[in-house]
Amino acid sequence: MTPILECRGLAKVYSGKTALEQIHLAVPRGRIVGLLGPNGSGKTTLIKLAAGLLTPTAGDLLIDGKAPGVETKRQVSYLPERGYFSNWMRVDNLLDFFADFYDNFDRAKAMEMLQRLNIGQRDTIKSMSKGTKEKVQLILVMSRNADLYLLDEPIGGVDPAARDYILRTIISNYSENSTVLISTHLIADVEATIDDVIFIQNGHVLLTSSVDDIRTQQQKSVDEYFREVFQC
Amino acid sequence: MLGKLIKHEFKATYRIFLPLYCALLILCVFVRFLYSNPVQRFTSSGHWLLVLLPILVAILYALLMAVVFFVTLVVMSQRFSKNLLGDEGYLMYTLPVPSWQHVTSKSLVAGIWMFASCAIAVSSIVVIQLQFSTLSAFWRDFWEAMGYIAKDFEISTPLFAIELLILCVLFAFSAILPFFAAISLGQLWRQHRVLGAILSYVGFIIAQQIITALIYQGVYYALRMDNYPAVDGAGHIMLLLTIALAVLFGAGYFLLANGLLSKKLNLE
Repeated sequence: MTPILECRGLAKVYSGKTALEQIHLAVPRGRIVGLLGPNGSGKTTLIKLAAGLLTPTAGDLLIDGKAPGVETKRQVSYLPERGYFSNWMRVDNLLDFFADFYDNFDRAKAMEMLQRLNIGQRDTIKSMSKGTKEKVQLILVMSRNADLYLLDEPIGGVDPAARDYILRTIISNYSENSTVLISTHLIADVEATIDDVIFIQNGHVLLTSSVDDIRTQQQKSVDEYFREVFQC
Repeated sequence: MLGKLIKHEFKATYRIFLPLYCALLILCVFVRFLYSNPVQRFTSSGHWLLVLLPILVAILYALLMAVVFFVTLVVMSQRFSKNLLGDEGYLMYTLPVPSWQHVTSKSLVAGIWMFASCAIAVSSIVVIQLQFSTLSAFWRDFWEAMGYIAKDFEISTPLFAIELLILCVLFAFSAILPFFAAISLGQLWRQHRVLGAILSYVGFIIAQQIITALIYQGVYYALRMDNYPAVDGAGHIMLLLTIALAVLFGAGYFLLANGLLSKKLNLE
């Protein structure tokens, strides 16, 4: 089966600075994968390349065997590390927007989650706190029935209770055929959620492994192992 | 998908333009009222504040007219840069839509607003100036003048009117498209995007002026317009040339913006 995300000798250089180099990866379907690494390791660059927001300097990145483009954007649901909504928009405008552009957007599911978190449909983005904006964004992204979810720091700005809700949402919303790639440095929080890890540092992949393998072979939790590998 | 992009583009921008247009129209009705004979007789003989009122309202009207055009250019340019090249670009560029549709929807909607701004401005002048008693005379004179020019151009009056309308629409687009091309080029200077866009814009306009002047001069002499009699229908050829140049420059700016955003897009 074609991996949902594949990188072959992928490199990205920004104005003379190498962000990613010689990345070889194959992420299969049906997994929740933690993309873990310290700040500035290249996590966001890799995710943006997969979302089609950046063009590779060298090598290939393939989504379900295809280079990023209109077709892969249908399959990929991407949550950036920043707010991407216009301030004037109301929640119901956003629901309309997603329903208009994504065939696989499940409006009922989104409305149910918004209700659970007490977010009104007439609320404007302008009036929301940073954490609420992040929740709305995550809800919309997770309400798509996508093949690949790319979540860049999805839990960074929200309180621990909301964090648990979000992680539960991620687990309960993805189907067994889709893959979730979560980038974060809050490893302890996602440890129970993820199946596999990719450790990345200075634009290189240090390790790809299943969480079970780390536990059995290293006799450590992912969090402990991460601290050991990336010791400063 | 292009239709949906256009729909959302209108949704995002009409909130700014409709109130502005309403304000201009209300103000022009007010100007007309204040400058109508009976009211003017009343205000000019009253308190100095009353004397000042029509002048102030007229100044306000003129200012608002300028603001309408300024806002059209600024809002549409800002929308282009924020929505496609700022944080909102993270949403727009992950939609399953090819890049040319983004540039097309932005250009189309911006051009339509620019045309609407011109149309509202002209309408407001008509509202102020026009005497209803002489309305039919006005139309008669207008078409008569059009007829004279059309005769000189050796074409029918309706065809001349249509060509003139096409030219107006094209001018609306060519006012906004160099801004889009300049913003798209400016984003290549990572640290100085705004400066890059401004310099690109100035460069485009200077280049456009030089090219246009050279072509006009060449055609002017080729048509022997400096002599009498000139080539038959020379005036019409000049009008068609103006249309052709507006199309060419507009297309050039559009293709440049589109090419840069589809091939060189690197959102920070």
